[in-house]
Amino acid sequence: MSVSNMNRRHFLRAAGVTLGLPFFESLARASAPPPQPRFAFIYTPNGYFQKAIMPGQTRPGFSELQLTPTLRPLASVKEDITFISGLDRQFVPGTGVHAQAGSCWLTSSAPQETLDGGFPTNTTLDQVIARQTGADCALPSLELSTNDFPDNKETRYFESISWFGPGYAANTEKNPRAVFQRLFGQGRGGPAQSVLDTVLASAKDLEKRLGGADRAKLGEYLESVRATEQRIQRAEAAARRNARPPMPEPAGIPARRGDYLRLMADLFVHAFQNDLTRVATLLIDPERWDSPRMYHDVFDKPQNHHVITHTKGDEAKEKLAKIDAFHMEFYAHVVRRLKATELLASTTLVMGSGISDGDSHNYGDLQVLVAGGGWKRGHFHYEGKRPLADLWLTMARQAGVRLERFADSTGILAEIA
Amino acid sequence: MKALSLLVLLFSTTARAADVGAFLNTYCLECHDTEVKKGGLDLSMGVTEAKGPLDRDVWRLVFEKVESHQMPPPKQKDQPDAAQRAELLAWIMDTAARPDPALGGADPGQPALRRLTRLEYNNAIRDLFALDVDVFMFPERLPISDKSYFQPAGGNMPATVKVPLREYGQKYPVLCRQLGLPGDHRAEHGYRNRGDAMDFSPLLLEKYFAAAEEIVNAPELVARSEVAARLFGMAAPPRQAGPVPWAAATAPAGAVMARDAPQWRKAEGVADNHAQRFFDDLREAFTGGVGGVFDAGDDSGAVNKVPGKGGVVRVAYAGGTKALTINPNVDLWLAGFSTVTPASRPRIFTNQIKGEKAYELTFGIENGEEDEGVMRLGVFVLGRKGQSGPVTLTAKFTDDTESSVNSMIEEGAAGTTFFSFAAVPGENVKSLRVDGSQFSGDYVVLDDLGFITSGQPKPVATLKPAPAPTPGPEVASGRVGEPAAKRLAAFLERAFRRPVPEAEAAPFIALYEGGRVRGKTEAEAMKAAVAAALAAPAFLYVEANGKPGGAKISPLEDHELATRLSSLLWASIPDEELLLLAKDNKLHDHEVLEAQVRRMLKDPRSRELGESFAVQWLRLDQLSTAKPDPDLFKAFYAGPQGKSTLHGSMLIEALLLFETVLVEDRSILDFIAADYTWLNGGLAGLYGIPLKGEASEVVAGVGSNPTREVKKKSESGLWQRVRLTDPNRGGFTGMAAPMVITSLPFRTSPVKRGAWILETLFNRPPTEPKVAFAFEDDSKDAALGMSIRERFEAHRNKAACYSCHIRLDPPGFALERFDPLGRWNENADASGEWAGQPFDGPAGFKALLAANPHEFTRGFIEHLLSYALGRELRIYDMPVVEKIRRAAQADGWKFSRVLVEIAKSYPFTHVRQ
Repeated sequence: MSVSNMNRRHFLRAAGVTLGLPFFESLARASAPPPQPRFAFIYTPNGYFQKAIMPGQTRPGFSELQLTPTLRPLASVKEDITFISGLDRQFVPGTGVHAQAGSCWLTSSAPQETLDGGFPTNTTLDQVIARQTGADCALPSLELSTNDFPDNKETRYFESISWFGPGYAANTEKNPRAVFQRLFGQGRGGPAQSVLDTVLASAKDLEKRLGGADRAKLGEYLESVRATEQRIQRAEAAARRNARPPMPEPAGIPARRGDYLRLMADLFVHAFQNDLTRVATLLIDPERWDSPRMYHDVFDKPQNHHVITHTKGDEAKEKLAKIDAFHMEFYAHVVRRLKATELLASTTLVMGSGISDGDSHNYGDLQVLVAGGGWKRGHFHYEGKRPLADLWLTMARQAGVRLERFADSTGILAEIA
Repeated sequence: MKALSLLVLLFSTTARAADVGAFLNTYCLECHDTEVKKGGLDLSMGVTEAKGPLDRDVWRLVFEKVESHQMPPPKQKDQPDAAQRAELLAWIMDTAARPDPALGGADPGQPALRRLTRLEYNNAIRDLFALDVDVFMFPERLPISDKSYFQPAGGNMPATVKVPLREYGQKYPVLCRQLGLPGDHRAEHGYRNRGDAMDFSPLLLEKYFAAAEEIVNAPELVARSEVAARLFGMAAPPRQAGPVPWAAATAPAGAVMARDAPQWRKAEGVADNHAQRFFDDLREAFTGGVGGVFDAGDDSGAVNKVPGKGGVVRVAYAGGTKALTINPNVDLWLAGFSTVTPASRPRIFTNQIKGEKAYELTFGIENGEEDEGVMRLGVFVLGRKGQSGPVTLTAKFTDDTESSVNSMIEEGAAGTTFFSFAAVPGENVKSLRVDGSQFSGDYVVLDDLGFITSGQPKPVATLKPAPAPTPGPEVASGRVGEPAAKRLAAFLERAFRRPVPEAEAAPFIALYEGGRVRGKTEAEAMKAAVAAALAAPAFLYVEANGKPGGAKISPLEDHELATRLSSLLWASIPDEELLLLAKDNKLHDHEVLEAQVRRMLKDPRSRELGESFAVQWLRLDQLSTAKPDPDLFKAFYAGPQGKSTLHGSMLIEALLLFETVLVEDRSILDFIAADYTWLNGGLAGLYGIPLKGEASEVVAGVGSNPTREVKKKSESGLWQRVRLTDPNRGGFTGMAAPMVITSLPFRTSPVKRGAWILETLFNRPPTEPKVAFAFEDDSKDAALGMSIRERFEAHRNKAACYSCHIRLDPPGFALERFDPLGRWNENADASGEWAGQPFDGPAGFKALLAANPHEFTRGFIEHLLSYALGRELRIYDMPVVEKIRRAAQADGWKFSRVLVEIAKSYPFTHVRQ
């Protein structure tokens, strides 16, 4: 019977996880089949103002989470949060200083492997996990962005934190309405099988005429057709389970910044809740996007985040801390949402930036917030060189991915997992 | 190590190469040998032409660094002399031009397979169905609500043009209002049409599917597109004039008037013989070219929407040399109503939205005489079955006085009432307000709008008629009556831009037939097949494979060439003529190619060269997000809460220069040193340049209120071509747009300006700084009393920064005399040195550029060639660029010559397999 088969498969996967990770033991003991692990990654650009997020000396190892000026908005969810600091990445010379911060934040490429021109892009952590956990979901992964500037003035290295492979970025969805329609709307029926067959046949005809490099490029199309085929089948199954959309259809992009961010988070939380996807990324804003934007209720005028990071003087620093705190408040909101929907225990919610100090473009000493998922609570600080990839490897293992190494990882972070 | 490499040089190459080897040995190898390898560059591999493409890229880097005097390091004492430098550059150029030994010929390059950009996708579908509107709304479409000023066929831009702008984000008429597609990312230092910068993922595929579905099922598609109607096997729709219709004014129909006379009443307060007198005068005005009746004489029953605010109906009169424009403030229908009893023919105006019975029409004259306006106006309000009530018409005059006529419209045809207005001498009718809020029907219907202008009557026969405003729709697919499969196959050829073998059409025909078998109507089944074709890779991807046969280098197939041409010049698909030439295998002929380029440039679709290429080239797309500090730069903002800004005006000024050079086939040197520019009231005020007629009228103030006169002249949509006396202005570097793009909200940024010039004008973008740098205390307060210049000098003197900044800073400093809005700032220090010559201010810098236009012309041609090819340029393109450059120079730098030579060039017509 198919139902029991599925449960068995889930159980086996979860059991594989329990071997290395104590968190799942408690779930394995529960009578119901353990819920699938879920992951959401939120990216904020241009680093954090260091003096407000981590003032003073921090000793290595565990300590209680101090609610510094930047972290103060996390007060209500302090017990659910792990704050990790001191992890490192390596900037690879050859591209702009900001370009790798976001595009390679979740990458699995070691710094010496620049497989994509000068960029060490490769399959990102969310996609590695999606391949493991998302195979039976309507959408293996969800890529969102709240950069609503229409001018697309920067390259994809600024617009995408999720990459299918070296030099192959996932397209992001910026309009909440389109996300909703993809998840719950009529569009989930998608094109008919006969239409998919037709374009596939046509693509094969085209393929015959192409040279090697172009054939590889067309592979993106062929792969997309197959993925769409699978999504439709699973969406139909999901539609039988969930008859009605769990939320009203959004009208479009909300005018206020906070509303926009919260709506996008709501969408992936609902997607998790209905098991339409298990992995989501949300790019709050791209790196180095020199366009002033409104942070409603924080400033009464538009602010240029990137320029402020390079502006001296107390006024700028104060602004920077406020923007960081604004994003922390958003993070706290998402944690509360996950808690309210009882998803927090099975979800790992991550927020961070690809650089620590925005002014000096420091790819080392990174801060990462982790909530849910059964991580040890508090503040854990790493001294010396410890690759960020170790954290990603730890998460990949949690998701059941059997990986020895991830990018330049040296081992899992057993002390916090 | 050095000795060895020199040995290699001596034995592997000619005596000239030995000189090159000596150059490297003396000036380069101390840092760039295998041991030190500074910047990752090792030049000790020797000078040989026999190396592969990798080495060629190294040589390109050497060329650029040595040419621009960035290397050897400027602070190094021992420098090569000019002759030595030139010799090295000539040798590299010569090497680049040689055949690639691995290919057995010169390398034409191989662009990555690319899909249509969002703009091209829109245009391709628009042209496939011969639509007169965009398919959907997208931000790359410039917010110009009426582009009819762009008429390349005439080869001249008029002295004044009207460029009405939509407010940013305002809706405009498109086929599918809800449809959207994700935008494309630009390539690093390149354009959005680069395959290597594009991705394709399930998300995007599903968007293409959904879009195709929505397009073929759009309710308006069949009504707007004869092609679609035929293809779907539906009755051909009535002929369409489009949403911005052109209509010719007609003579007042005397016979009709007489016959209908008993049926219509005059409005109260109108003298008994007033109507007849108006019609007599109107008839005379028509023959004198100063009036006519808008009735369009179209009995087709076509329904056109005229959108509120942005929409304009043009009524041509005076033999088609002038036009009355009618601009409604709400959406109107131009329609035939079955319940209407027309006064003459069934072309009428009415509110489109049910119950929106108060609306206003604003009038204008295009190509009229100075101050020509509507002097007298007459119009019928139609009586309708079962509807009655009072209707008030109010004419507003140019002296801001008004005149209202109220009349009771009775039920049925007898209720049809004639209203007329006349301005006092010297004034004109500005607008007509219609108020039918008390009328019992949902629509207030107007017919037979007659107008007499204040122009000088001239016999129309002596006037030269204007060219037809829009090209007729092309018939893209088979005729109705042909079997569906045949119509579909014809459509596929057009959509895929090439012959489609039967086997390839088969899946689409099978999809159609499958639909029929399952009980779909012919139209439904056809729509499904067409939608599949619009999401198929053969439509979405641009093929450039060359002729099959396995050769390493191959000429493009003619139909591939056709698509390259149409992508370059129209950002769209080839038209019938191009496809026919390709089919006959004639297109690759250089004469044919040249003729086609010239033909295509005369087509209004060539506007896309400006909207797509120029906007990206100049980075004008970044204007919309530039936000000068509202406290410091009040001049940028106007209206309530600073809602109106100068963004749009600045964009249009730059676009108009590009379009002028394009339409008038002028020298591309105009881009850096034109002695004219286009100004509207807003920019004229910003620059402090008076517009024509403005000053004299203000002084004279002849019998009217001078301020009102100025206001009228300064209307933001009206642009005057202005001859410049100040050499600091003129060309893109003398315009506000680049200055705003390259400024921070509260101060200028010489670095950004320098980088903009290096990248845009010279196509030599500076490398990004590897270290972060910021000024101490770089805040708004500091900006107020700033001396940016001094702070920069300190910075560039650091050794790590010097070799870039010596090139980056001077152009930036030259433009320092323009403030963050592009206003003149006399006090800024704008002196510097460029190519060994001192300059002061923008004019001085421009003079140096113009004296030696090599850097700019090369940069421009490289930009355009890269856009044309959809790939990054490589060293083997250098000789090609030089060839195009020389040909253009010999032809007075004409823009069309550049485009023709690009179209004929080796990499445009060939591909590496």
